[in-house]
Amino acid sequence: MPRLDRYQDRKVFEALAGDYVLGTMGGGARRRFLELMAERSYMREATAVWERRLHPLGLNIIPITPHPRVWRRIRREIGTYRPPHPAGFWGNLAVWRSIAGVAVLACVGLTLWQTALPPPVTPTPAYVAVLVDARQAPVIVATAPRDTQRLTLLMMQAPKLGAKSDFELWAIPGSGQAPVSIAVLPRNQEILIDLDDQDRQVILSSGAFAISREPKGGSPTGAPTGPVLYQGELVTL
Amino acid sequence: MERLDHFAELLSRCAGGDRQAFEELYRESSGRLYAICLGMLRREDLAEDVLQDAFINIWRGASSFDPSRGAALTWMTSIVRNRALDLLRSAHVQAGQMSDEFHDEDFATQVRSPSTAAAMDASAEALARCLRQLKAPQRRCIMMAYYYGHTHDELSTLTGTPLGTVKAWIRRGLEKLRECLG
Repeated sequence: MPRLDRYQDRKVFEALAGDYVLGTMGGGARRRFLELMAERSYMREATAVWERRLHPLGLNIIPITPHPRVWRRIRREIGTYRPPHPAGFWGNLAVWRSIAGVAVLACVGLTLWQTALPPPVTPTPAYVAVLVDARQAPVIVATAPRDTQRLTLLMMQAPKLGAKSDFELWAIPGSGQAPVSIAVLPRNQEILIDLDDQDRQVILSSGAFAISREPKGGSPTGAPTGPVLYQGELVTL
Repeated sequence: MERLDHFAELLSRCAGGDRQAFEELYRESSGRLYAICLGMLRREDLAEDVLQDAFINIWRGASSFDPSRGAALTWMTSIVRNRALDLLRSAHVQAGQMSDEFHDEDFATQVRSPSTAAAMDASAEALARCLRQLKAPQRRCIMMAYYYGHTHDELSTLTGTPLGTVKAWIRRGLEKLRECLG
């Protein structure tokens, strides 16, 4: 059995690596090349060289901004988060007036934070939910503007949470349907969650939120597995 | 070059678990990488899936990035394109229909954004210079394969050229690029 096959011919393997990186191989050829690459370091090397040669083509492409839901899904998957918004609407007197008298609990919660936050630039919230603990004390205020592109959560106290756990936010549909996961929450005072159409629909039709304590990274099953610690109803302003 | 080195720095911070660095990396590179996905898959849903998987792999594999072996964006582009090609070549996925703009023979000039490209990176400039030395059909096939993920067979159909001719164009084109780029 000759141990020198044709794939050890530099001309052959360099051409194959070029085709592989360029992407012109069909499914079968691509799989065979991957197998060869797995066992032969010189093929991996030739491939890396072709990647350095050809991928600068990717620099020339005109960027297209992906939909925000992509980042949301990535963030949900790896547990990352957006940094706090530079300015909140909490100090805005108009916001205050619009909320006052509609959601008493919201006002209670907001009062706590009124002085602590920077001046407003964001639109008036159209939806507010105050999530309370078992003793009805407000812990988290959730708001969304009229277009419900984004949900903002503000922690009004720092809830205790062990290092091996995370909070997960759920929309709770009425009529006994299963809760729908909205996000695993980072440990920030202010949390911004971009909503996609599906989330929006679920949230607006369910009208209630709950937060459960889950293993690090969120519920492994897609349904709440830990205790529900906070809940609240969505109020339309 | 400054920006490309910046990606390498962000990746090394990602390797240390810095999520803000990861978000910055996503913000600054996802547009270009998403455009690559969309060009190849021509379906937003598939392109989004690929971008998502790729970035999760980038986050998890950030520590395996070795700056001495190439630019950060090259590494990320490999991850994205390989994922897109795997999906394109799997039997049960149908890429979206080619829209008319993709048939345009001068598509390469539409894809290119020269004002940023040359300023950004010397490697892109060198590649563009070498590509200009190829015969037009060689260059066209290579760019169609790169940006749209076509196989030899598909290129043969799309260009109305016998398969053997297409393969020869690409083989000769790549050989010339190798000679020109070293």
